[in-house]
Formats: sequence, structure tokens, C-alpha cells
Amino acid sequence: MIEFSGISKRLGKFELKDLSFQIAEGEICGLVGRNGAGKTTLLNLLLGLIRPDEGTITIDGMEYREEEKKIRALLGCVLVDELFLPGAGLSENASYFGSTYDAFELSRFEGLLQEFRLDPAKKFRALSKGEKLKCQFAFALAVKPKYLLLDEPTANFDPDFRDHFWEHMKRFTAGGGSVLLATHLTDDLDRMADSLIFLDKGKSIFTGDMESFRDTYRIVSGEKYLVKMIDEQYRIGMEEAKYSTRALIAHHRRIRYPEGLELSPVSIEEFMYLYSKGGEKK
Amino acid sequence: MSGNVFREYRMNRSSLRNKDGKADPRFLSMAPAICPLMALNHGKLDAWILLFVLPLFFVWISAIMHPFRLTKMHYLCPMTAEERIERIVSVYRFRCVFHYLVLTLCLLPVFLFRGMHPLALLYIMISNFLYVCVANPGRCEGKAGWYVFLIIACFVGSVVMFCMPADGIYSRTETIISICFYSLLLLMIPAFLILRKAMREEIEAAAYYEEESRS
Repeated sequence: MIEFSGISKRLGKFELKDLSFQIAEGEICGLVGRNGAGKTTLLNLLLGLIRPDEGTITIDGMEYREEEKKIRALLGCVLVDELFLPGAGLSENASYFGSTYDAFELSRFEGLLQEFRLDPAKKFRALSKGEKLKCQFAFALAVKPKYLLLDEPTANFDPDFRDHFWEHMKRFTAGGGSVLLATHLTDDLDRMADSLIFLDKGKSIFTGDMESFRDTYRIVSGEKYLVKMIDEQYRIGMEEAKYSTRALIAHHRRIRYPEGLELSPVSIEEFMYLYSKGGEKK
Repeated sequence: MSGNVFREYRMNRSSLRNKDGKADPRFLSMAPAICPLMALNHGKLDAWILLFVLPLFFVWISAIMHPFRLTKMHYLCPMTAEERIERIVSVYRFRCVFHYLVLTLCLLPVFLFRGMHPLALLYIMISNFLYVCVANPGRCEGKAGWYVFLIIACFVGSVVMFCMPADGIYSRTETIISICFYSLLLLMIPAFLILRKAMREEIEAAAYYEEESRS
């Protein structure tokens, strides 16, 4: 299990504040938020690239300070940065970096490359952005990690490969692995994620499973005056249009929704959009 | 992985271009240093100077291409900080030995066939050693002045010594020049020691991924 407890980190003017969450085994956890919300900082903390100012990060009960090597052997990652050496071939890169992992198998990596239609002899620098991510994804799977940490990989995948990607994710989590996926493409998360972390300006707005996310928030739409009849403390963000007004509501059984309002479950994208229409003031 | 130093050296090669696609300024700085030397010696020392200067240029480029820093992936792989330091140090040592061998092997035919004063050869051997050790010392914050001094002193001193007559019959001017340059060597050693300390700190810092601040 991955556990963040009371994590704070300051980087220049940016600060990640008091972040606590858990990622259980066999779970896909979505990490969402606008640009600059702190997603990459959170991933860097989890990858042990930066250390928190306050709080503790434990991975299977281990901390980076004491068990760095053991923790890293449990992690596979795909980051926006190009991680492989540009002048070396894909297999050459993989066998070079893979030699630090006990579980790495070159044949598995090459098998995945074949599946992803990549030439193992090709130089890393000769690949397109999407191909580079596919290659790094293949490596992340080939080291047989327990946790996969993925930073925006799907944005550069073609639609055909995206299905492939999710197939691998399903297989990976079925085997007991966990995934933390930072992305702006939230449609897939709506379908596939088991839990969600939503960050805004370094603060955690929501952390929990998708069921409680759908239970906690609702979208109401209808006449503006009807929407405004809902107590302001429950209205997180509102979008006014000429004929209809929509609002993100922190649902509570005490709320009496006026008749004439349409109530619908919230998607991650709608949540993010409507939150940006007023949530930050709350 | 740590056993295969050559592979490590070969794989950990950075580009001579930075992220914007522009050439490394250190790479460019060597060209104007070489051109006047070549022009000045044109017709006097013929091709031998090439065998002396071009290896220095090669070492300079090769050192720029093999910095102390590891790539981000090295910090994500299962290694301890000590193992990362071990890797950096072994590659650095390999780099120094390899570069020194290149310089010495190129100097050998010059010494055998063109001839060189033994004291000049000694100077050049010492100077080459200092040069290969500090050719790319990392950032070495606050020590840039020492670095520039040492590189220029190594380069200019060696070239002047190279031009000394091989027969050992020194004119007074040549004797004065020799004394000046051996004195310079005495200044170069403390500069080297200062840079060596800074390089050690740089290697220790490279064991951990460098935090980037965001504005």
C-alpha cells in the first residue's frame, strides 16, 4: 500500500499542503487537477526524487530514507520527461537500466515492443513523442513493478493504443498491482478508476474512492433562480448560461432540491470544470 | 552494472547541444583558442602541432560529453546513493585514464620522431594530467576563476613548452620562459587541488536528484 500522511512540500512559490491519502493494492487511482495543481510534484515525491518538508510517505511500510533501493524496485514509471538515453537503441537502453532490477526480463520488454510495433534496434531519439512513451511504458511493465506511476501518458497515445493501454492496466491490477495515473483525459478515469485525487493549487480537494466521489457531488441544472435557492454553502461552482444554469453541489441528504431542477451524477471533467467556476473561493 | 565501466562510459554520453538545440558554449570556446595557435605556428612546426593540439581538443569535447551528472532515469532505478556515487567515480576515473592515454599516445611519436626537450616533455605530461582531471569539473560554483586559469595555463603552457628546441641548447630567453612556466606549474597545482575539492562535492551532490524549484 502507498500511504501519504500529512505531506507538505514547498518549491519556490508553490506549496503542496497537508496531503494525505492511501492507494490500496489492485487499485487504479486517478490524479487530476489543472496545470500547476501539484500533480507532478506529488509524483516526484512518490518517486523519491524530492523529499517532503513535513509528513511521511510509506510504500509497503518502507520509507525512502531507509529502504530506497527496495522501494524503487517496486515502482515502474512513465513520465513526461524522456527517461531513456537518446543515442542508444531501445533494447540497449532497457538492458542497461534493467540490469539494476532483479525482476527485469529483456525478452518481456522486447515482446512488449513488438506488441506496440516498435523496433528494438531503433535509437530512442528517432522515436516520436508517443512512441517514446510507449517504449517507457513497455520498460515500466518489463521490470514487473508492484506500483505503476504514470504522468500523462495517454495524451500522446493514439486511440487504438489507448485501448491497448487500458487492457494492460486491467491485467496489471488484476495481478494485484496498483496504478497512479495523472491525466487530463478524464473520460477513461470515469470508467476505469477506483479512486481519485483531485488537487488544486497544491491543496487536496478530493481524495477517496470513486463511489464516494459520485455520492459526494451532484450536478444540478435548470433555471438560475432555482439553482440559487440551494444553500450557498453546498454550491461549489456555478456556470450561468442564457437558458440554463448548472452548478456543482456538495450533495447532502439535508439539501432539499427545488422542483424543476435536473439532478445528475458528476463526471470528473464536469467536476473539474465547475470547480474552476468558483470552487477555489470556497 | 558497476562492473562494466566501459559500457557505463559509452552509454552516459550527453549531447553537445543544449535543450534549445544550441551548441554548448564550452565547445565553441575551444575553437577560437585553437585557430590562432594553428595560424601562429603555420610553417614553423608543420604538422606536429596538429598531433599535439587536436588530442587536447578531442579530450575537451569528450569531457563535455561525459559529465558527472547522471540522467533522471538513474535516480529512478533501484540503487542506493552510494552505488550512484560509485558509478560516477568509476566513469570519471575511466574518463581520466582514457583521455590521458590518448594524449600520451599522441605525444609519443612527437617525442620519438620530432624530438622534444625532456623538461618540456615532463611539463606537458604533468600539465596533461591536470587537464584531463579538470576538463569538465561540473558547475564548481564559485571556482570558475580557478577553472579558467587552470585550463588556459595548461593549454598555453603546454604549447609554449612544445615549441621549445629539442636539443637542450637554451638561449637566455628560453631559460626565462622555462622558469616562468615551471613557476606557473607551481600555481596550477593549488588551483587543481581547489577544483578537486569542488569536484568531490559535486560528485557527492550527484548522488541525489536535484530538486527544481518552481516559480
